[in-house]
Amino acid sequence: MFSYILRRLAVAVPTLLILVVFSFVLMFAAPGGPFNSERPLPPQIMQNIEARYGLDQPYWKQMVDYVVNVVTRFDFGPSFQYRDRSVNDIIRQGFPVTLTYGLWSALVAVIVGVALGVVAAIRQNSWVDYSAVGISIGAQALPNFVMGPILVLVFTLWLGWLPGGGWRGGQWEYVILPVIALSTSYMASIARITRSSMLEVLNSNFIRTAMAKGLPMRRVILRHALKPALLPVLSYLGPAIVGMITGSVVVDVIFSTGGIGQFFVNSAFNRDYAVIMGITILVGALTIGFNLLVDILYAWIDPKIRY
Amino acid sequence: MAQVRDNLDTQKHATPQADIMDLSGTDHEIKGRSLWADARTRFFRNRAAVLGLVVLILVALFATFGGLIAQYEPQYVDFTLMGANAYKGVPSIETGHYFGTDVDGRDLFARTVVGTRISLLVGLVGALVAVIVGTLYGATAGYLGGKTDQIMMRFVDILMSIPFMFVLILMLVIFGRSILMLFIGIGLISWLDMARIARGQTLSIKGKEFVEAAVATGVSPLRIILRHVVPNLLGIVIVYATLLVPGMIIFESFISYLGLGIQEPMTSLGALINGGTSQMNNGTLWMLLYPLFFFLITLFALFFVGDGLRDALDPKDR
Repeated sequence: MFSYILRRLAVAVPTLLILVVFSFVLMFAAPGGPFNSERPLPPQIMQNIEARYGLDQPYWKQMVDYVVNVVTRFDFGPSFQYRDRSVNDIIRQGFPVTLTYGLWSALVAVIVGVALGVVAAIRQNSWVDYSAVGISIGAQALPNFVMGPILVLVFTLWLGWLPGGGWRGGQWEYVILPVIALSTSYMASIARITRSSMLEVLNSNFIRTAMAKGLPMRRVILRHALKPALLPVLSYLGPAIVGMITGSVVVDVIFSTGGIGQFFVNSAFNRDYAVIMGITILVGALTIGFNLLVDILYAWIDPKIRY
Repeated sequence: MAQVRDNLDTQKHATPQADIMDLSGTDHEIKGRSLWADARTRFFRNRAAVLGLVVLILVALFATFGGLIAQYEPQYVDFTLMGANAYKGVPSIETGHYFGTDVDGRDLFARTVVGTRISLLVGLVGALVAVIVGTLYGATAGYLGGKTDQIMMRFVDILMSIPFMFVLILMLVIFGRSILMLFIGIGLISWLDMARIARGQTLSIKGKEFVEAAVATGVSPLRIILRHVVPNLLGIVIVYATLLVPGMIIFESFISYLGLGIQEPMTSLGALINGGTSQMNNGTLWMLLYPLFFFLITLFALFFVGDGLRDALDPKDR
């Protein structure tokens, strides 16, 4: 087990380094510097600014400095656009917001998705099953940037029940719509996966034995069937979390939550490379970290996996 | 006893050709069914898949020839309608704005045609790259095996764990937002899944007798991959290419929705949906609903066609 984790880390760390170096090289391939403007600055001022941001150093030194700062102190340097703030400030401000509704979304997706899938599997070919399958196909084809506006349209404009945007420090009514928008398609996928794996498990011998012993249905499902049926869901969690992280960009923009996605898109319009790079690397680290975590969990839970 | 049976057998099957003729009771030649013909029958028996295919063809026709029906150019701005589209730009046959106008007074029908075209094009490019690069890469890795395979697939693993949406946006910012850049970005990621699938399938084909026979007769590895492995991958490759396309269309629309993809005056369904949502509370719902409708039916049609193809070409799967 320990050597498996070490081996996985041996892949994860270089991946992250490649991502950092790749985005850095991209940045230098960009035409023009971040401070080039219509009206050229006096050379003296330009020099001072470049010295302040370390842009007067040779490229390799800038890159090494950047990588060292990121790795050792988790310091992404100053923002090029918001002159008085560092990338870390921006991340510190936006990340908790994204994390809050991201975690809620993951929870909702897993709990509701699994429940829906289990019910659909138990009552196979009943109306519950058909509607669960129908909903999950529908929800899968609805990307979150379609889901979000529809939610706003229905719950804010037509019904007037929930606010259509903002965050207000995470009050519950501001969290609900972003969570629904982000979690629905993953909930649907999880429901579909749970249903098919549950059906498979329910047809297996050990479940027949449990039934034959005269155990109540509830106990058979919860104690015997659920655990093996959830393994495929666990392996889906890796890509699902990556998708949610990406999806949060759109949710941030639609609901103006002030999460990192909003900063990311704004910086993309402002050509604020430092912020874009910082967020890309942070997201990359999260992605790789979550994938690693899911893989380790999987190897730990599933006895059939050899590592 | 044995003698008797032998006698009987030789008697009965003295002319096997005649026997078969006898059995079938006809004198025309019996046609064998190829695997592809079987698959075609299975596909056309699946109603949802056929419906999906029909819808897809209609959408493609709309995207290709819709411009001929449109009464206006997609870029033409009607200044009298600008900002007044809520009551003057309502969809109607009389004005020629079949789908109404957008907030700048441009004909939404013509723009939806352009947007649908871009979405289909993105799907096509992505599928092409996935099929060509992904299949060859996966087949090569799977066929060569060993260290080469490990290195090649590790590389795919590394690329897959990078959050590409973010990297692509970074690239769009740095190299400028253009359709070409978007296509490059989609091409960069679309082949990864396919490479994995093709590799897995190659591993099982590799052990088959016809590959052994080819190796024994001294065919070069490159030729074996191209002539013997890849044709046998085609079924599964076609299935997954269809199933991957919706993801790519969503990917492009996602970026265009954020305003970072296709730029004005060109447009895509994602950009149109964005335009519709920003005007949602001004009573111009058609701006959202028409692009959304074409977006969704395209996705659904692709899902159903992909599912049908999977059932037809890869029946053992689920």
